[in-house]
Amino acid sequence: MPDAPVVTTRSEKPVYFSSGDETLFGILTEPVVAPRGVAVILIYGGGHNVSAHVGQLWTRMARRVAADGFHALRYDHHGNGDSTGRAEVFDHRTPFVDDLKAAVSYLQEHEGIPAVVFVGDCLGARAALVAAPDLPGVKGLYMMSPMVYDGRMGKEDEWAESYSTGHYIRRALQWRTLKKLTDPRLRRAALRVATSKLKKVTRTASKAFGRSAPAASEAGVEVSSNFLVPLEQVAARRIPINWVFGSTDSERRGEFDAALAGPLARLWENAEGVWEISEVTGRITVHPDLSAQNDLVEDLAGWLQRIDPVS
Amino acid sequence: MELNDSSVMSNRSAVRIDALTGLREEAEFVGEGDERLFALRYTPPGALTAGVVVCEPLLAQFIAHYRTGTVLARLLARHGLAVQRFHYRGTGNSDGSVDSLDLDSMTEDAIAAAERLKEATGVERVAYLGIKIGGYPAAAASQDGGELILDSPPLTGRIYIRNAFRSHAVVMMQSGVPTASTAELQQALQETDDVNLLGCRLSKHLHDSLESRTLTDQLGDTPRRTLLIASERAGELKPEAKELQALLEERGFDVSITVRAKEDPLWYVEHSAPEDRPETHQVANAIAGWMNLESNREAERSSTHA
Repeated sequence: MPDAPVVTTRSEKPVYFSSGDETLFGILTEPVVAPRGVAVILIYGGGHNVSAHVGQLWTRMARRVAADGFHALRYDHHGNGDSTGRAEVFDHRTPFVDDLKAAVSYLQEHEGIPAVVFVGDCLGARAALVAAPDLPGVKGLYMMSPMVYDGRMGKEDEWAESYSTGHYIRRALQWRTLKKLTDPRLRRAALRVATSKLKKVTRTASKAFGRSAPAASEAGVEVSSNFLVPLEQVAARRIPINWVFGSTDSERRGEFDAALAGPLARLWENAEGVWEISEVTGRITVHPDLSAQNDLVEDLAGWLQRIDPVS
Repeated sequence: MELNDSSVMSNRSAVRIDALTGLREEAEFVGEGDERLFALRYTPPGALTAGVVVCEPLLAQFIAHYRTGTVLARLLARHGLAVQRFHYRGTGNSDGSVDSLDLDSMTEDAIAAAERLKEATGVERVAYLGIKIGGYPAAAASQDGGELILDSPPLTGRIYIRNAFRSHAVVMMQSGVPTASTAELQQALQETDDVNLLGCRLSKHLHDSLESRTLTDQLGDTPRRTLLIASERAGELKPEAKELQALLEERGFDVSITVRAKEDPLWYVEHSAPEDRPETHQVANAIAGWMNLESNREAERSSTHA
């Protein structure tokens, strides 16, 4: 197969567009071969980030798909990168959906591109899933390392799960800890950790006493309704999805496989020929490996060729 | 009253005018050759007398610091400074290959960004602000008539690499991901020509360029006005800051120091909003003051909107 043409900034332009009261920044890459009328929108996940994504992953993906006739938009959520606004919460229940819809509106109204494919990483994948049912132009979802349940995004949740309840009680009673709480920022962080821990304890207790959590739960597998409901709508429209995991992201993959065997089994059966699962070498979660990044660029290009989205 | 920003876009640049402050942000690609820089310029309304070129950190620090850099640039512009940010070739949204990225290419990019700032705004007086390893291209670029602001630069490239390896290991361990030791990463670099550090590629070429240099090499012999942004430990300047101060003064540099209220955790992404961090506002005030811009219009109000 011949090498894809090299795409550079000569085919790119910076753009601003509105999302509510905020102005979002992005880079639009234009195709270097005949345009397909379809734009790939790249959506990063939680933690403050920048439109290029870590290791230039979005920059490379945008330029790669532009060589195959796709437009590509990488952008900053509000409070991130070069956009306006502020963001301190990265929560799967509130995954920056309005920003993504604003990106779609920008492409339709200002660039005349009616069809879109979403590429979302972790929290970005959740944004893609939640936004898709409301948008008739969505032609595909490339879901990198998606989480089937809510939460565990921020530092606070990780901390909350790292130690026992006793540990936190002992820490809370230390003079050093109490002194730190005079700082409003540390106080807010401590409150978030405490809230996360309380939720975790409540969830564990609910399971122990046989009560189901507020999500689809079969055979111990939790799938958030925030994940399941939009997925049912997307499945009903038979929108192609590629579920993409790193070969060493066994925890995330295991949770997804368990969900497919449980709460998502019916959807999975009906989605034959529309959904697929890809595996790239190494790790996508936390900080993606170089091998995973390289694989992702080519895997996305290959999947787009297979589904061949048209406007 | 609606206060939505206005924006103007052309084929190759985009401009946002902040509805509240009148600040102008212009994003564009700079250069005529095959490898152009992504650049973002912040200018306040009114006459301009001085500008700052920001030399960002590299690798994971580029991402971890980026939003703080945005907040800082907007604050500096509100103090009346023109500010030029850019992504080094081979990083972010710029052209170029990460294989060619090294201290020399970073310095060339800093100089190109300064030229663009002067051309676009008419300012003649330019200071280079180098953040962490960004201090190296800032120091080299400022040899030719610029002023210099150094925010916590490592004294040697070797120290920088060691810290990069350690930070990678710490973050991976905190996340429960098995990781290589510093020695194993060093060995991998020799064998495979690159290693992954928190999702970023450190090539052997960049490694060698960093490892063989010191900040002293980058500074050259021409004394110039320099502001150090440093941190304290137990009420005293950290030893590396003291060492840097002595080194600069030995060479006849006119050195001022501002002590940051809290050290930036630059290898890690914090989940609090960068807009809320008082140390960023403190640094902006210190830079504006050092550049004799105390009288600027928005200095006192700058802590509320970025």
